[in-house]
Amino acid sequence: MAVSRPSLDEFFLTHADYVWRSLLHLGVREADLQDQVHEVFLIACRLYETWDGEHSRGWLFAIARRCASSYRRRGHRRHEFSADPLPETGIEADPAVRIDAERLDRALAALDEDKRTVFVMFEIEEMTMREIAEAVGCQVATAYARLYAARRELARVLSEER
Amino acid sequence: MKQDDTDPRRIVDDGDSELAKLVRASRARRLSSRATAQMVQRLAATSAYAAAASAATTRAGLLGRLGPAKVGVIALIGLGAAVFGWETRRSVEQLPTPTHEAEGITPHAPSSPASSPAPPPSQVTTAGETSSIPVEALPSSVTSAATAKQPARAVALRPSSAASTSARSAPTRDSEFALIRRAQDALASDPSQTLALVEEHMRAFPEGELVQEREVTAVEALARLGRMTEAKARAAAFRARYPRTPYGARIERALGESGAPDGPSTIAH
Repeated sequence: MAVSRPSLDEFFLTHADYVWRSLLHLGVREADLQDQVHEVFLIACRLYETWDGEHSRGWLFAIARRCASSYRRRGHRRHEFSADPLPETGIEADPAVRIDAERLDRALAALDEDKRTVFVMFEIEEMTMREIAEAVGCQVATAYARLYAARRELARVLSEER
Repeated sequence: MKQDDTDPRRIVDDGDSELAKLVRASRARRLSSRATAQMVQRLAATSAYAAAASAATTRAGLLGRLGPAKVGVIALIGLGAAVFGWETRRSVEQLPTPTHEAEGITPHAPSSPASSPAPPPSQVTTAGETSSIPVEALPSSVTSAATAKQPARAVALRPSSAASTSARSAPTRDSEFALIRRAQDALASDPSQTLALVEEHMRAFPEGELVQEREVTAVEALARLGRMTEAKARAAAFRARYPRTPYGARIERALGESGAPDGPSTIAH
């Protein structure tokens, strides 16, 4: 089978930030993000040979979504047993950028997951609408509808905030 | 940036609204190089463990044939080395001096990645003894001789506490992965065996993590055996249960339903 796949190291370094941000927007707590990124790539690595090599971000997103949903089901048990201080969050951005990004996170949290996902993939991750529709498993027209609805809702949430 | 002609303009390209500013900030947010380095290390360590477990149960020996699975494993272990090159690149871009001592990561050398991997001798010797996978058995052809040395170091380093937390749940999950991998490995040579392994997975992991992968594999095996009615029925049930599956294209290819947009179809003939 002629499949072209990048080497795994290249794959990880290319997509680590994307997976991290995706998980963040899928509701994984900041303190748990690194663990969850680890989970996603662990699964991705093990499925790597079976992956058809196409649409890497959509494929990773599907894995991330499954991880995030099982993470949410589990709750945050892990921390009850942990005597360690919370790990440093590992975010690299200057404080002003962080404040803005976190403000958007809070506004995004008010959206349902479908809209939030399309908005994040299109506006932040700069994926095409076609890629997005494929990744989330909806029609392109539906993705458009979600994007526009998300924009409207976000604008409203932000204006109410002030 | 990717943009289809038909896509709408993105918010950041459309003026300086407040939302555009926040989106820009979100785009700029990324993992710190230190965090990424830690994760690369963790991943290499955990995966080496899983690979070794899987190799023990499924393969006669690492020196046998150089199957695709092994290439993946080796490439993954190469992550340990890749982080050096990556560290160097990224720190040149933006980070003055990351402090890695606490994590046991050797600070990157200022020289080029090719010449820098020179871990302290003590680490190298420990690596040879404690690595869970026979690194010397791995061909060094994946990247370079330096790559073959680095992974040993990464594997030998003590995993973080978080890593050991996840390692606790590893055995069951590893056996699930190993089972599915065996099923997939058998696909080309012995699809009946694949089906037997699929059955085994259904019994052992009815609610496992890899149910989707199992079902796709089952459809592929049935199709290879020419049992198309069963393959289609199983595919239909699968699609009904997982309408958003990432494996839609693979199912279609297995059933010969689509012209497989790219890549030769292995079952075309």
